[in-house]
Amino acid sequence: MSRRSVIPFGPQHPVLPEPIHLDLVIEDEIVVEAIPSIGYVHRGLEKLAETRDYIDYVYVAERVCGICSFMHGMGYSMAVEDIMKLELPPRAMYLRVIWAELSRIHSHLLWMGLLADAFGFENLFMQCWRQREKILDIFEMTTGGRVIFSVCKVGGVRKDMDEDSLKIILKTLDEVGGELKEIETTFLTDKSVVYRLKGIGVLTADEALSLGAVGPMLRASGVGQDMRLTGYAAYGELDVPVVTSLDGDSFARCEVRMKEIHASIEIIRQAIARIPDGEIAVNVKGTPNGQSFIRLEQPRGEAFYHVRANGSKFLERFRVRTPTFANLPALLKILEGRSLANVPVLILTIDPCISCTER
Amino acid sequence: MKPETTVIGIQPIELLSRVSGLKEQGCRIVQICCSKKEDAYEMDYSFDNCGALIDLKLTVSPGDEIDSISAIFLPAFLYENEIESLFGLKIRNKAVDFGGKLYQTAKQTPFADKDGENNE
Repeated sequence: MSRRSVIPFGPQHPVLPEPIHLDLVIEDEIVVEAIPSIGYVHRGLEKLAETRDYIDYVYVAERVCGICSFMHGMGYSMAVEDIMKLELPPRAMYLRVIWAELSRIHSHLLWMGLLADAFGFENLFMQCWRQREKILDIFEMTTGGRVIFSVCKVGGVRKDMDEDSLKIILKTLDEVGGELKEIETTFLTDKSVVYRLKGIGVLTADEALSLGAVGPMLRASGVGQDMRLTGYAAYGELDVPVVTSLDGDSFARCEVRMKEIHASIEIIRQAIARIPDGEIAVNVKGTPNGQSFIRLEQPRGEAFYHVRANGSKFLERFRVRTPTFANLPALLKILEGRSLANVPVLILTIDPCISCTER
Repeated sequence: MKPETTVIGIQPIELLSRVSGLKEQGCRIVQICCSKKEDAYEMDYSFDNCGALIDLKLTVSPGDEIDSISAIFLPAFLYENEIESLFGLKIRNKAVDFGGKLYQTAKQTPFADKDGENNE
């Protein structure tokens, strides 16, 4: 008869850069149930919106996360702009798309490195992060920052990109795209990598939908949902390839993210080719009054922003539902029935961002 | 361009039947949000229906309890425990109950007060 025991996993664990705790109920080293505990570093950033000027709050919003900081600033700004019915200059929309897609590339490369590190392939980890460094250099060149850029604001963006910068971006992306193909070959064909990922942690399309999964987690299960298809910012004028896979396992989630990097490179090429001249922001006058719901596609999936304003300079409510929060129930599902040794890699395959979750 | 958004005001007693209807339509739960509005709580239950957003909005009086929708949409248990932890609003019959302790906050139900009052 098998013996049931509970193993605490986290909040401090080598595979976890941020604190999350799981009580793993196991029978003969097989996980039968996982119960999560979060909230070790909850920061209450949503509450801060009630006491900060709505224009200044974008600096707080982009600090929800260090990986997708630009997109958090963008989601917040879009919600306020929606309430105030601001028409943004087309150039600002295209610049937002370029920075957002660069953020996606940098996030996916970061994740690929962490995954390689989790299954003990340190050289692969370094190769991924070597490419990521080039994207961070683009951020530094165009914004002055490498993590938090503060270029998004209510009404547009704060900085423009000149022709020379756009040419450097294209040249760098050519390099990254080319070198990524070599890294991909290792991820998708190396026996030891395939052994750790193929058929592990399968999530079917029905399960992914019923558990509220989003982003690559959902698309790797064959569901082609992507908020960029709704056409926010300049995405409506660009061809957005949606990458899906039918297998729903850890390998599929890895494959989807890798192909999404190529898709993002293609989107940036289109955006640079079509970016119009003109202003990059509009003057913002008055204060917002009303409410807005905004959804956008972050590297980890759909993020949801709810802003409610009462006509004063302080918001009544700012709410952000991050993709990792939405993917936690799916994580618990893919852990069930897997061996304890697979748990660290499975946790990583949802690309968890606890910083976002602990906003 | 913004996806279609429909906000539907409902009474707390209608919640489970409305949510069951959305489940039958194949909707995906997007989020649940609680806000303090004057002396009451305003709840937003958001669902995705093939790219369109459906938001069920209801008001809960202080001291009232509402039903959990986690028996219909399992992921709701996380949102409901978050709301209980931050706002102190009681939600009954959650699939997993953290007893108001989902977040380890220094102050109990820190979002229950408006404008940062009593937040020292």
